[in-house]
Amino acid sequence: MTTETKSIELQESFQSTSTPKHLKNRFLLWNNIGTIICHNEQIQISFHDTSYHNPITIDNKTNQYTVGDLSSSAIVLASSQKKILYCNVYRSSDSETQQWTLHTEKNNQIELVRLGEDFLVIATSQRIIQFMDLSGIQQRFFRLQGSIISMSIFHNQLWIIYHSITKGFSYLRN
Amino acid sequence: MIEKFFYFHFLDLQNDEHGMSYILLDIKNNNKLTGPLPLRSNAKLSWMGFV
Repeated sequence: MTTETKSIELQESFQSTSTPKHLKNRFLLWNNIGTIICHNEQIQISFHDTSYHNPITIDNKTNQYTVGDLSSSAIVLASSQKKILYCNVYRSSDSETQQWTLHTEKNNQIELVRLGEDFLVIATSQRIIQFMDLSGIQQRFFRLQGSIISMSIFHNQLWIIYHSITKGFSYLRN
Repeated sequence: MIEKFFYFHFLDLQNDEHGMSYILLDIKNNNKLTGPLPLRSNAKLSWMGFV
């Protein structure tokens, strides 16, 4: 008895409201707080309510961020290529801005990031979902059965969609 | 308690070779909902979020 295995091309992970990754100038995010727009070598974060916070510009020449999220207190950006995560808590309870970065392991790229009210969630190429507080301390993690497609947060609810594992098929991912 | 008011948009490519599943976590209360998405296989997700 032979078992036939078919290969199918899986949909890549994406952040809802972002524009395609091949564009030079693209939206990383558009939400109710503001926008994160990537221009060639700069990331521009703008707030819909301009009285809430001034626009923030971040250099993108070195780290080449490709995903990001914006909440009412923090900005998070990540680069799968450079394996780096950047968090800027621009409105903290002690009124001091906190910034920190995190480097991931070589074989574990950050695919998606999302901000909750007082935490952030990272999804990696190793199918790991990692929770952190806004100071960068890991709280917990778990592993998905398939590779992630997208995720979304509303208040304390995290919604993840991922590829299901089906017997008899192998997955190809660009 | 998890409130179910999440939505998604997708392109249906009509193929029976793989599916998508979801996890909905209530982080503070440690509740969890899981299951397959009611899509035809090989659909392509284009948007997801809470409304």
